[in-house]
Amino acid sequence: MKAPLEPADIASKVQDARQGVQTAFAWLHRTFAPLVYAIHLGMTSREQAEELTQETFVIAFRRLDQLRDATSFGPWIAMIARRNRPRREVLGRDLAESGEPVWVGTSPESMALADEALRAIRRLPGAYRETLILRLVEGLSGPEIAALTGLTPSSVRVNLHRGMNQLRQALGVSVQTEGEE
Amino acid sequence: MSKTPDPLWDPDLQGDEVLQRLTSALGTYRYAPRQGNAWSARPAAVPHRRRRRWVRAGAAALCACVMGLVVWMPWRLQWQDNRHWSIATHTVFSPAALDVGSTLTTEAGQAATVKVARIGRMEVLPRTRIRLLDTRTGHHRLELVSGRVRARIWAPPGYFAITAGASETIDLGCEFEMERDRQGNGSIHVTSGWIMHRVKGQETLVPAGSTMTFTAERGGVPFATTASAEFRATVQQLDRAMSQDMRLPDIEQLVANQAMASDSFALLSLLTRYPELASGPIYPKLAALLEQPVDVGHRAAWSRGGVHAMNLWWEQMPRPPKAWWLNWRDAFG
Repeated sequence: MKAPLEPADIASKVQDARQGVQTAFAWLHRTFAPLVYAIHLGMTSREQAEELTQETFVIAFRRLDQLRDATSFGPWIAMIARRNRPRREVLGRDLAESGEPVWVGTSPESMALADEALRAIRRLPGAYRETLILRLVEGLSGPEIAALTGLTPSSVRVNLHRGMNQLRQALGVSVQTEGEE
Repeated sequence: MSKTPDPLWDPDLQGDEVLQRLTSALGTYRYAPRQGNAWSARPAAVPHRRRRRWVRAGAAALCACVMGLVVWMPWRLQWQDNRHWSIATHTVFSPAALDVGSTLTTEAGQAATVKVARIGRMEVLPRTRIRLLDTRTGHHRLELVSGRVRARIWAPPGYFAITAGASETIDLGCEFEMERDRQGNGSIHVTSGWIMHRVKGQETLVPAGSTMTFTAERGGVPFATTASAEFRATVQQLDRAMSQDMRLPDIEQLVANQAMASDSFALLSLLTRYPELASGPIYPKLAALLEQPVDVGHRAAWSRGGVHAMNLWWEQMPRPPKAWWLNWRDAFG
């Protein structure tokens, strides 16, 4: 597993960004874009999620002085992302069809599974939804998710396992109980 | 933390079939910012003069080219997760491809050219060992275990980086050569564009025409290739002293005396790394080289580490254009 982020690194970059250091903005964007995108992907189509991700960072960087605890940049921008909802509610059928990826080499079966799984994840409670997208879509480990979201590792683990069980039920596959805390 | 292996917690562990299929399928939705969506750092604004020729072409040819680019550029930057890089071997002993997690070693007298996804090429020189750490759209990471590599990359800043121990050398759109010994000491020479060297929170920008040495613990000050040996030695002595919170007024004066016009970037890097040096003789020397007035307010702001004061002079630095006319073939992978 890759080493998770250090709170001191996050605080240092936030301080630099407040001073106007462009590389610090770039670092914050590069590091936290998967988190923000995961939140938006849980709400809307991929195309809109990418646009909303950019919007969320613009909003956050404008308000950076309002962030009290620099180490809490992750939970803070996550809150902004959750409030920055799509301008109109997207119908369920639109979520898969508009602007979703057609990756070179992806089989139709795989695309169908991805589409079905993403729809099911979007119906899960928010905490499970975001954690599962970070794990299954972004490929992040538990410690990395905890470092990005500011959740405790045990909360992340519970969200992962409960969310995964609910996802398995929604997809009609056997539910695993082992490994759950 | 659970003691039992938990693939849901650790993606490096192999999960059951459902988890594997879900991870593989949903990975296609992974965040991959388009070129215009990446938050650009300062050097991303390095001049774009490539279009000058196109403007002179006829309108029809221009439209065709633009249409072609619209399709081709995103394709060039896309890369399937963990897809191997191909190797144009120079010896019969080298493998044909470099997979994620695998290493490529060249012996004395051997060399190889590795295609960096579709975004560039890298020469692996003799007695070198590299390991491919990660490769996917917008994120290609390689470890230089030891030896020497020469990379030419055509991609937005941050797409390609080489790690070496605790340090990371991030391509900001350029051509550079990097060497490292087994103890973690080495050097980077940039011939086109920029790179950023980062180790333990210390970030150093290195422009074309400059060389920077580094150790496992920290990066040095970038020097122009024309810098004299005396100037390098004096700056390094000052850098070492300042890193231990020691001011050496005599050495500062010597640095100022020895600096030539081509050493402006080294002085700028030094002042940026240690803003308190602005109170000494290096500040007026750099002001003279950049033809800037010695302003009391600006100097005081710099001494306090004021970013706006620093930016004012960073903007004065001539930025060498990327030598695209030499490396245009790289764009075609």
